[in-house]
Amino acid sequence: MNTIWRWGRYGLFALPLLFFGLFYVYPVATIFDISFRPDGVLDLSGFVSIATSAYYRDTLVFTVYQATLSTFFTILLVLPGAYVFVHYKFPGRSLLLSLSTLPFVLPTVVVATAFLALVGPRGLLNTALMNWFNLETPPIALQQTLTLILIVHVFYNYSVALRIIVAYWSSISSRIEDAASVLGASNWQLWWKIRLPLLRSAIFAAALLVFIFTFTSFGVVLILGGIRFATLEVQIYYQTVNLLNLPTAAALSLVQIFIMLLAMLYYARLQRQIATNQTVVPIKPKKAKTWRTRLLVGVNLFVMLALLLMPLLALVIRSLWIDGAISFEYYTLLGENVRNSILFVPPSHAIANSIAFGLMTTLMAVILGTLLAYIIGDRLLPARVGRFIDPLIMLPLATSAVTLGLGFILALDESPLNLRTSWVLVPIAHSLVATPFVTRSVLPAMRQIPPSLPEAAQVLGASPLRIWRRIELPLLSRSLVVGATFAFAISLGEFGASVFVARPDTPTMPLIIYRLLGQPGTTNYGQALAMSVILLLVCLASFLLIERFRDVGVGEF
Amino acid sequence: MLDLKNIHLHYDATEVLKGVSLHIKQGEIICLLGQSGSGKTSLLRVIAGLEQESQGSITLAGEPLNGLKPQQRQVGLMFQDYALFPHMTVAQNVAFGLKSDTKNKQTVNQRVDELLHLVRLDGYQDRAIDQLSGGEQQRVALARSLAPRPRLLMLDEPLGSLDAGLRETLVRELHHIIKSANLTAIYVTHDQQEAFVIADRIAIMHQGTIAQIDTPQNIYYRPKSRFVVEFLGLQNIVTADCRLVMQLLDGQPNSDSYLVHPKGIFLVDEGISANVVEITFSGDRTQLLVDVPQCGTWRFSVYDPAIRLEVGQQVFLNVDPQFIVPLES
Repeated sequence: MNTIWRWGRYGLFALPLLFFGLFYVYPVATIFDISFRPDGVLDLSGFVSIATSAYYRDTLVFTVYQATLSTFFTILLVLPGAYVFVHYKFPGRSLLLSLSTLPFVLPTVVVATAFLALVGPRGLLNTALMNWFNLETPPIALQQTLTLILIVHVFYNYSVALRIIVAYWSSISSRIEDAASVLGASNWQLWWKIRLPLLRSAIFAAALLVFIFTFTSFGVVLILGGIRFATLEVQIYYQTVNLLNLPTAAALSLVQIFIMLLAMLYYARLQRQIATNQTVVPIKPKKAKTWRTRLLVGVNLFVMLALLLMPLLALVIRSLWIDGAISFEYYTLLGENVRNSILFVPPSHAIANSIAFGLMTTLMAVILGTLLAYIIGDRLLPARVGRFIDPLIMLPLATSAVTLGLGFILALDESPLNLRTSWVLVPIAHSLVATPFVTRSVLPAMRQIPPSLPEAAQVLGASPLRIWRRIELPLLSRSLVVGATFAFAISLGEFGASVFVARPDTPTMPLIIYRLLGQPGTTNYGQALAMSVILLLVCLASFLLIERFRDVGVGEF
Repeated sequence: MLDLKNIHLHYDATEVLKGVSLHIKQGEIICLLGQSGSGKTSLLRVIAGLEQESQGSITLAGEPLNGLKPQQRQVGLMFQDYALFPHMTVAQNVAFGLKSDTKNKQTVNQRVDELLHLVRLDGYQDRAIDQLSGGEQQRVALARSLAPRPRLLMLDEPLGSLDAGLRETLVRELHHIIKSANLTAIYVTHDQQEAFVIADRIAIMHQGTIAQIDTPQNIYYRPKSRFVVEFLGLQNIVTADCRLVMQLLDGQPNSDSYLVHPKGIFLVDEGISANVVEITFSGDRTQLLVDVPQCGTWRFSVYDPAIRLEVGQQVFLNVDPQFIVPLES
């Protein structure tokens, strides 16, 4: 019995490794094989072309440049925000803190569309200004500017950075600031000698995460940047889809994987440093009493709300407001297959597709992610094995989604793995990206289970299976729900890989939005808005579910 | 030196301090003794300016402190968790409160050395905080709060997180350091042994007020109220019903209840009759719980190792009238 159990367990653990081998390592290796050994001979012309061309160097420089600027502005805005959150009490504080997770589950396509609905040429602000002042052209010209890309990146990452810094800050004993005050430190000294140095690793960690996210930015730059701006990820997409230049795309992919892997390894180290320990006397938020502190709180709240809610509201309003009246026309149009449409099916079908793919992704990601959490965190395997696998599971996140999608198509086209035309590729691709999120949600909960609990159950005579079902599973359930919902939301919003692997007759919602945005005419634009609102609502529901079940923080992210 | 008049403090709706008045003389060590939640730490924080009192006045050396920021008060506060700056060395921690610029670097270093010598941590200047033991951290915290020569030193459960053995030695050491520097100090603790060792006067705090303030001897031998009696772990409270004790009082009873202090109860051959209920041997003494008709049960100790007693046995007691303490109702 015991041997069966033991080998059964090893078998279970092999499952996620097999999955990653088959659907990550094999496709990515295939791309590199095709790209660098086109005729069985090593050919590094791809590298040569990117190394010698100023064009690709510019892409890399722009990628780093925009990521650095995005990171800088995000942290600059977050620090005062975090200060306000940690030190002051105000109405709606906890609501706002939980609301700040929202961007995490919002698809890039939706957010890009939302910002277009707010400040784009046909957006809410521009149409309003044109009406009021009788202008011929839209006064706010942000489309296809770096400014707009940066604003959207700040929107996305503000909350991630805020959460990390607020969580760490709250874990520092309030007595430290008190001690400095009593010893005579001025406000300036408090910031420069106490707060910033103490928060240094948390700020670094937050900044690095923002850098990682913005470095790989795809949907935002593709939709808002136009042809003027391309990150590495967007360039990889252009090279494969528009120019069919596989060697260059593969070389760019490798460059990106390498940079991201370094960044992620460093992030994992920082994260261990800021693992928060509960202090006896956390900083207690107070009411803002003087006008200066009130102003500080007010300005920060305004920035937060404006940044978070305005684009989303603009999106909803713009999708319902047609020629000065409320109308659901854009929504009803989604159900029709308009003649001359480039789409094979009515856009509404994409909703069903997305939800079905999302549910399949959730199932796969939860099973794989939990098994991986056991490999990394459990006491069953030697800790060395876990520490080795830990950074590896982040690899799919380091890999360009576009590369992943392309690899699927190139590698999985021979029997027995002839999946090229199968819809199954979509949830598989999504699972690769979603699984690390599940693992990251489950791991902290798993580490919190004291070893004495299963031991106690063991002494009381429970079988391993019963211990798992009655002790561990219930204790992990909340984090499993959080991980599952993240997986669902990620699947709904995934764009880069879906572009390649989704069949034309089973498109997902982000794909439809992207295609509609690329078509001329107000009805196409309106339908893109309407579809974005629907996607937004589904994501909002997932977000509420996450908030309902989560205790603190976004797992280990 | 320090004058507190009618200090009130509110946290939102709850009143944490309900009118505390206190006068501390130059060079005196006052100990605030009380259970957690009695308001002792809050009082320190009000004096330091970390909390804003809702009413009352604070004067330090004739100068009113109300409205001054903590930075401007020139008081020292040593925190329970020490609140050492984890990103600085020992020397940087100690020097934090000293006004330093390039000109007086020498003086600052000198002062740091001087203080580290005082707390017996010579040579620890460049150590990182997380390399120190609990006792060493405590001494760095003390040195840091002493460095700017505060007019008043406040210590919030400074030995709270250390183990019992270490506490006994350190409390004597602290007493020595504070006294030799002729500092005025307020010491907060919940441990009465610590308070007895270190304090010139003890203020027992209860629900945001001072229940009694007096010398350690008077607190122990002349507790004022039922609360203080129970707080000190004493019992033996009798009412006017207990005529055996009332007779000893020599005159009309002037209170509803009295403490028969265990130090004033002796075993004798003939006297007040009582029955032994419980015998507890605790090393240097034997504790007895006896039942005295109409006077409840009393607990006291006998120190004679030759005494042999059994539960249920009848004994006779003598009570020294000096140790009968009238209690406020």
